[in-house]
Amino acid sequence: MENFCNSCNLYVESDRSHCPLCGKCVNEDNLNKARKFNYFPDYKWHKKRKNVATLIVLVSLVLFDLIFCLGEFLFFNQFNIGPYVLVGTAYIYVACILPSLQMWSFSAISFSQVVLTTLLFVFIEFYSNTFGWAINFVIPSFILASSIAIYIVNLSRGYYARSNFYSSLCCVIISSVLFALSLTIFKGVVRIWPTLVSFVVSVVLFITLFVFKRKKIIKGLKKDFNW
Amino acid sequence: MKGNIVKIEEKIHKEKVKSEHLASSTRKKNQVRAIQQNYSDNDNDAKWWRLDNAALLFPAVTSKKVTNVFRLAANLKEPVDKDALQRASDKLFERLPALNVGLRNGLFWSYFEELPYMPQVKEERSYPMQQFKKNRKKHLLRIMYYKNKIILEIFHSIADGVGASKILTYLLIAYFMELGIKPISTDFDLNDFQKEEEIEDSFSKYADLKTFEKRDSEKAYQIKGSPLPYDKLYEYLAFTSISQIKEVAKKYNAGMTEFLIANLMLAIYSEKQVYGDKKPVKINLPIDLRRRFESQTLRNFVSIKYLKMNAIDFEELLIDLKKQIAEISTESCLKSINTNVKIQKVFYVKIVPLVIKNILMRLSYSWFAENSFSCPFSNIGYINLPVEIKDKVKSLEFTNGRNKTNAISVGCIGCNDTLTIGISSKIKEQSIITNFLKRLTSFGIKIELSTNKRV
Ligand SMILES: [Zn+2]
Repeated sequence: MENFCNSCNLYVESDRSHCPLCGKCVNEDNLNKARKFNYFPDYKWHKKRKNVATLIVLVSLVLFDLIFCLGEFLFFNQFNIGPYVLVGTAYIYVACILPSLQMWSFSAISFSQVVLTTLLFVFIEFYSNTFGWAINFVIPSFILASSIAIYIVNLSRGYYARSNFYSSLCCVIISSVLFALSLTIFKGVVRIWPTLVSFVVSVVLFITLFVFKRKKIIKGLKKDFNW
Repeated sequence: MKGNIVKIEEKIHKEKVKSEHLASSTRKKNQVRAIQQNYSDNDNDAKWWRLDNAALLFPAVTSKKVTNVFRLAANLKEPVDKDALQRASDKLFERLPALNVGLRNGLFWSYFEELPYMPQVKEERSYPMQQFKKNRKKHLLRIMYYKNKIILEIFHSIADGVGASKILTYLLIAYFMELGIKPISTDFDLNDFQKEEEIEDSFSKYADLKTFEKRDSEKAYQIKGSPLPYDKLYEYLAFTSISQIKEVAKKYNAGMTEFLIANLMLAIYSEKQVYGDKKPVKINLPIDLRRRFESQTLRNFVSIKYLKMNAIDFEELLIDLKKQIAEISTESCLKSINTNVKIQKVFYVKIVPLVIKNILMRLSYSWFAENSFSCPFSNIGYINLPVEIKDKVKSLEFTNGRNKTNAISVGCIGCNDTLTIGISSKIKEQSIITNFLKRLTSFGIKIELSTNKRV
């Protein structure tokens, strides 16, 4: 070990360019050299493998899509199932493969699941109009699912993030607006019952969240608004 | 009847061929996996061991926030031979089957059960001291290597720091014997059987249940900072010379432990002043009881002593610490052992189911233990390696794992002439560490710092 940091008064590993404590440059020769870790596993290896795996999965999915769509177009001269396959593979990639490869946190996975599943249903509904319940059921059930997901993440895992508070607040606002609309302008078009259920559940869960995480929420609000 | 016998014979033959095939295959992993899958609940023949008094607490309070894992490592002068290390570890755990165990939950207490496979030696590829997931099929220790380093990570229920340093020494002996260095002058015989005194619960053995102590549950100052994610941990290793530190400490008429603790306390104190916190700085000093009670155990046998910072001036602080450490006597240690063992022996505690016990233990741990010290300082002491392998080992390392409340923990271990101060930190800020090391270097002590933190 020949690298000496003058301000910390100690020797650091010979392949470092900077002192790990104060950040001062200790050896200019090492600046452009790739570091080989003597003391700790070089977790670049880990990262590289992960990136390669992600890339392989992505490329194979795209190839699969292309082959499927082209095949359908060339052999059957139509384009009916293609969009479903495209959306389906995109859903699998974003909702299942990415989280497992990138090791998303539990809350991120559950929230992305809720959002993506709803989007998937909205797509199927608007593209094919099979069920005929797009606005009537999808949005209320989305609000229901996301408020329950936020609630479970927060209270069962002892976890709290400021974004959870705001998203559950959003749930309350959207569901109340929808409920109000179902009562007034879109009477008959937007169903009352699903909107009412989602409204009540989101409000109740919001209040429970506030009761149990009161201190953290107030602290977060103080931070956000500089009280 | 005859057909049945033929069938059974066929089956036995198939099994034989299968097992031979597995044994011959170079991929030991497959073998282990196969045994793991066949290893069922009804395996009543497996040997089992009781947890010692201190070990009972750790499974209850372990989570991703408190891993209760610590790590010992040996820096060799040459790169580690993986196969030799695997052979050495196999031999070691054959000799000490009580370490080759998984943790199982009984109805009233947890217990260790022998696993039918040995721990696999792996190259280290993650942050240090990851949590041991609660899984009865998995070992409670890891043996790893990285370049020149042999690493032993161990769950606190299996052994304490000094016990683990013995295990590491045995592993090193076995490793160098595999490399062809014979004979090695040591009391430890690899071909012997496991001795009862090596795995005894010394707490219960030496407790006389006559005198008891009152617990010090005064809250202490807690180091603040922005935390790292749960799976990350920074490890700072400061390599210094034992003779140099001893010389400096001697000038102040103090021992090495007092000298290091005083510097650590002052470093924490200067940080405390910034926040204006009024709680005192307290250090948790585990005391090895093996020498006091002449125990040979590899399991836990420590007593905890809290050292309080009573003075701000360095020399006054040293005198005060010396007094506090001198107060530690065999009697006072016996008192704390008695207090712990007594709870375990109460009839009403015995008949409470483990699930409820775990909840109670977690609660009492968070009330009494968690906030009552600012930083642990575990001194493993000087490790006397056998003469034949002494010059093949550069230095040893010791670091403590992640703790819920204490952001930083310090440990030290000596070997040859190198004292390694291992600091693990779960926060991004490093002002206390910088301050502590700067204090040491200001006495003229030469420090070589190495860390897993990237700049
Ligand atoms: Zn520096």
